[in-house]
Amino acid sequence: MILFSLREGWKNFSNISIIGLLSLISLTITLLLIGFAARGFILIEDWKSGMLGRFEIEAFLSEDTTKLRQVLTPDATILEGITLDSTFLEGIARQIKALTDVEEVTYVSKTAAARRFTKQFGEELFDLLEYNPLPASYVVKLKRDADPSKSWERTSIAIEEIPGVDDVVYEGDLLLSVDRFYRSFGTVVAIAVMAALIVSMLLTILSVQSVIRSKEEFIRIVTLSGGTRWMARGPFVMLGAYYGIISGLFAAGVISLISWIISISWELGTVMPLWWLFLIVAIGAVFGMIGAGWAAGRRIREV
Amino acid sequence: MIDLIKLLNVNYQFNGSSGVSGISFEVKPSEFVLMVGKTGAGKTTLLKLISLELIPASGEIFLEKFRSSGIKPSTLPFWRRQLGIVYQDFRLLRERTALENVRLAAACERNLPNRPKNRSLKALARVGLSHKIHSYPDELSTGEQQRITIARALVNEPFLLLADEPVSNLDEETSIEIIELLQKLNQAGTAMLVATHQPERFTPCQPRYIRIKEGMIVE
Ligand SMILES: Nc1ncnc2c1ncn2[C@@H]1O[C@H](COP(=O)(O)OP(=O)(O)OP(=O)(O)O)[C@@H](O)[C@H]1O
Ligand SMILES: [Mg+2]
Repeated sequence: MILFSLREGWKNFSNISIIGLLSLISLTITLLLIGFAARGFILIEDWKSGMLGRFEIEAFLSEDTTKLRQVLTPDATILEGITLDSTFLEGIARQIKALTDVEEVTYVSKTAAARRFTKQFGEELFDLLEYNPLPASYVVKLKRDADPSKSWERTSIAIEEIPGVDDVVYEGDLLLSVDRFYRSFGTVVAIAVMAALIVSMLLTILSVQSVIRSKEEFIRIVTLSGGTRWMARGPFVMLGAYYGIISGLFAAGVISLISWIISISWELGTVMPLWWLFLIVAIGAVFGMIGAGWAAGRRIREV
Repeated sequence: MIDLIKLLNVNYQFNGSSGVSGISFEVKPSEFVLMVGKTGAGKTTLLKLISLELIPASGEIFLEKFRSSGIKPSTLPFWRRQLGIVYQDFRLLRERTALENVRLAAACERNLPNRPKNRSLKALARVGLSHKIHSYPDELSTGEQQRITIARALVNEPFLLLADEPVSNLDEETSIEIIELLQKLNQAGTAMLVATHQPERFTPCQPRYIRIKEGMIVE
C-alpha cells in the first residue's frame, strides 16, 4: 500500500506540469522563509541575550553630605568628602539585589572610579582637578531572561528610590529599540510566512487537483479492481509529499549554502546543523501531504 | 448448487427513459452465461450495476456473502475483488505497458499468496501475451489489447468474469482466438457473464442465454 503509493505517486510527480512547478517553487519559497526566519530569530536571540548580558545599570551614590547624613547610621564617620562605612554600602547593595530582575551588584568606590577614568583618559585631566569629582556607584546587571521592555525601567526607578542613591543611568533607549525591532521583525516575518504558506498550499491543492483530473481513468481502474479508497488517494497524497520533500531539499540546500558563505566570509554564526535541514524537509513533506490530502479527499470521495 | 451472483428485480434509470428494470437472474459457479441484446439494450448498464459502478435504484444483488443494498464504501473493494471485468472500451492506461496495466489491478488485491508482479506475469502468460509484456497499448493490435484487458480481469483470481462485448471490435479470426481463450478460462473454473450482440460466435462455448431488450429480460 505504502510502496504502491510511493511508486504511483512518483509516476505522477515525474511528469510535472507548469502549475506543479509553481507549487514546487512556492513551497520552496515558503520553506526558505521559515528556515531563514528561524535562523534569524536564533541569531537575534543570541545577540540580544549577549547585549543584555553586557548592559548594566549604573546607580550613583549621592555626593551631598546633608542628604547622606539622613540615611547614615549616627556613628558613621563623615569626613571631608565622604567616607562611607561598609554597613551602609552593603545595605544599599542588599536593597538593590533584592529587586526581582537583578542578577549581580558590584560596588565601584570613588577611588576605583577614578582609577578607571585615568586608565581611559590619562592622568592629566585628573591632575588638573584638586579633588576626585567621580561619585561612588553600583554597577547592576540584570538577569538574562528579564524582559528588557519593562524590567530595565522598573528596576532603575526602584533603585532611584533607595535613599542615598542620587542618579541612575542605563542605556534604555537602545535596548528598547532593539526590542521594538525584534517585535516588528517577528510580525513581518510571521505575516510573510503565513502569506507564502497560503499561496503555496493553494498552488499545491490546484496542481494536485489537476493531476487527479488527468488521472480519472487510473482512479477508476484502481477502484473497480477492488482497490480501497486509500489506494486511490495514496498516490496523490504521495505526490504532495514529493512536492514538499523536493522543495524542502531545495530550501535546505539554499539555506545551508548561504549560511556556509556567511560563516566563511564574515565568520558569523555556524553552519546549519544537519537536523535542521532534515526538519525543513520534513515540514515540507507535511505541508505537501496536507495540501494534497485535502485535494484528494475532495475529489476522490465516492468510488 | 448455490449461486455465485444473484440479481433480484434490479432497477436503474438514467435521466430519461433508458436504463434497466425488473432484472432478475443468477450465475452459478463455472457457468458460461451469454447476455444477448441489440445495441442500447442495456447490457453495459447491467454489467456496471453488477460491479456496483452504478448503484441499483431498487432491487438487490447478492454476491457471495455481500448484498448490494446499503453497502458501505469500505465494503465495495471486497465486492469488486470477487469480479474480473473486461470493459467494452478496454480502459487501458496508454502510458503504461501491458505488464504495468495488469500490475496496477494486481496491486489492488493484497491478500493473495503470490506477489502482484508474479500474478501479472502469470495472467499475461495465460492470455498468450508473454512476449509483449513491455509493449504499450498503442504498439499492440486490438486483439492483443483485448488480451491485456482479459489478463487484467483475471489477475486477482476472480470467481466471475464480466466481459462486455469482448469480440465485437475484432476480426473473425482474432475473435475466435479470444472466444477460445474465454472458453479455456471457463473450463479452468471461472464463471463467465459475457455481453454480446453477436451470440452466434459463442456457440462453441455452449452458453446459457439471457436475452435483454429495452432494459428488460425477455427470456
Ligand atoms: N451515462 C448514461 N447517461 C444516460 N443514458 C445512458 C448512459 N449510459 C447508457 N445510457 C443509455 O442506456 C441505454 C442502455 O445503454 P447500454 O450502454 O447499457 O447499452 P448496451 O446494451 O451496452 O449497448 P451496446 O451494445 O451498444 O454496448 C441506452 O439507451 C443508453 O443511451
Ligand atoms: Mg455496451
